[in-house]
Amino acid sequence: MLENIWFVAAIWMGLALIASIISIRVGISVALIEILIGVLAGNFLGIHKTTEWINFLAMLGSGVLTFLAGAEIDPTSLKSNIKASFTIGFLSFLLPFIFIWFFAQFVLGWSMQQSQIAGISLSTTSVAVVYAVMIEKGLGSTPLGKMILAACFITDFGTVIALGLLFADFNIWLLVFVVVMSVMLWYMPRWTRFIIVRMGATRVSEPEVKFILFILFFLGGLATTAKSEAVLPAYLVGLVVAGVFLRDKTLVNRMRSIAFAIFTPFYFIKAGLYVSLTDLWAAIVVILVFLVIKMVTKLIGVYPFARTFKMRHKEASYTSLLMATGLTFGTISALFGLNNKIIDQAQYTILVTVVILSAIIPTLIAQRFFQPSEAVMIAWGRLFNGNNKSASPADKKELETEEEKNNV
Amino acid sequence: MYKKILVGYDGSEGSKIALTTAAELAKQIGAQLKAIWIKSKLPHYPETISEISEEQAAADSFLEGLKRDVLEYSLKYGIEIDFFAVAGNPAKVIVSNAKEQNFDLIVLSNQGHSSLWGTSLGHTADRVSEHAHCSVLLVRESE
Repeated sequence: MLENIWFVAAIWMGLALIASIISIRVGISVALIEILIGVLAGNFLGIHKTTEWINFLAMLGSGVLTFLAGAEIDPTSLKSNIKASFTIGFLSFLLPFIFIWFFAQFVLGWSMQQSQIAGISLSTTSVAVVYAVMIEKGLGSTPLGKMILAACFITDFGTVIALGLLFADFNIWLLVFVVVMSVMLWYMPRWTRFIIVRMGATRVSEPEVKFILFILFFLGGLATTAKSEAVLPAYLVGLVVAGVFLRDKTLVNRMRSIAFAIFTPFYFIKAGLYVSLTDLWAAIVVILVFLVIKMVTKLIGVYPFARTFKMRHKEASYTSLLMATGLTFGTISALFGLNNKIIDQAQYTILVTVVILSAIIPTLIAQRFFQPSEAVMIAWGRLFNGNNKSASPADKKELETEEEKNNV
Repeated sequence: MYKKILVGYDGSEGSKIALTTAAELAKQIGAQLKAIWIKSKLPHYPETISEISEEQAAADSFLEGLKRDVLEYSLKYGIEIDFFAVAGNPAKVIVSNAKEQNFDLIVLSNQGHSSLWGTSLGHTADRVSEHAHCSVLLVRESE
């Protein structure tokens, strides 16, 4: 019975359905629940292997998810506080990447490539998790909120570049990939706009969705031929069409619906399937140490510059903690390592567990102890962009009032 | 007698009966009536921003429908009915809002949209009646 493709599909879709129902009930994203369902399925239901077609759907899931992550960034927000968001975002990638790489290689004795996978997985952040945390209190559209989201994007950009280039073969195919991708990225916004305007609005055959998928598959093919990773072109394609998507939400929502119904359940359940609870328990100390290193190195990288960029202790701590979150790219990087036999299942278990914990723990601490008010996050924008001197007395008063409250 | 009545309204058949009961009662005794909708919290730890924005858009659209419903009841009974939405745990939100705004009666249906989970709203009603500082009127759907 389990050789029958329909039954196998039914089991996987049944698990995805259970995850959706639980997700609605508990108010936690379906992705996280799918990973946990995958963990249970792998450890208790005896589902230990995936088929070619499951791997294919999972691969599409990670590709489309990465594309959406790139496409959801607001280019205007990215440009508006570029100095602060680039500095914070870049250091939020670089420091954890190097520290975790060196810790894994020189303290845990992992090989260099295994350690680099660890560094990449745990240097990530999560734009969506951070957005969700801020939107709860209406902070997502404030200048400081936008700066933090843009910084998260820069961090993930570093992760994607590292994942795409560190393990690639530097040969003629990489050159072909880079050249073709660059040309296509250049033309993508106008091609996408053309297809949406000319065909997308009136055709039920969904030419615009097929066009995006065609580009993603083609560049993914070139990337893997060059032994690079398909998430690199997916993220970059998302980035260059972000402006188009910002004006036309229908396409991004449609792509998310397709991905979440068909592709990503296979990806997330598969991501959970390889987490071994035995390995997790055996490596619990290493997991906690990795988590602490991730959070501390994010703090070291982000906090001092956040202070330089006119944030007080509370906002700087809040920013540092939000930059320490992680989810999508962390699991994608770890699964890349496992699929390409760079890391083993025990190492994969460690990395994915730390990634999931990093989605939860830093956000809880940030919300509980360092949540700034909306007024302060707005005032920061005027203060930072006005370089303090031209900040209005009202902004300064706002910050002083908040400071007094904190002292009390 | 009651001066301020709070009624839980989520657009379900049960909550419509609760709103009807509350509106009739408010009209008879000249009490102030407010309807409350407890919306779900946005999902935590999402993978994409659009997960949140779509949920929010769906909730906003649902809220508009509820506002229209409440306005219709207001016109039908010739009384003013305020309406507000709060996110959170239904029982906690109702109890705390009732206390903060000095309501002296809470009207709830024994079943709402959460009936997929058994008698979840029934459980909410249980919890509200247990913890509320004021009287609670539980309206059965069969009425």
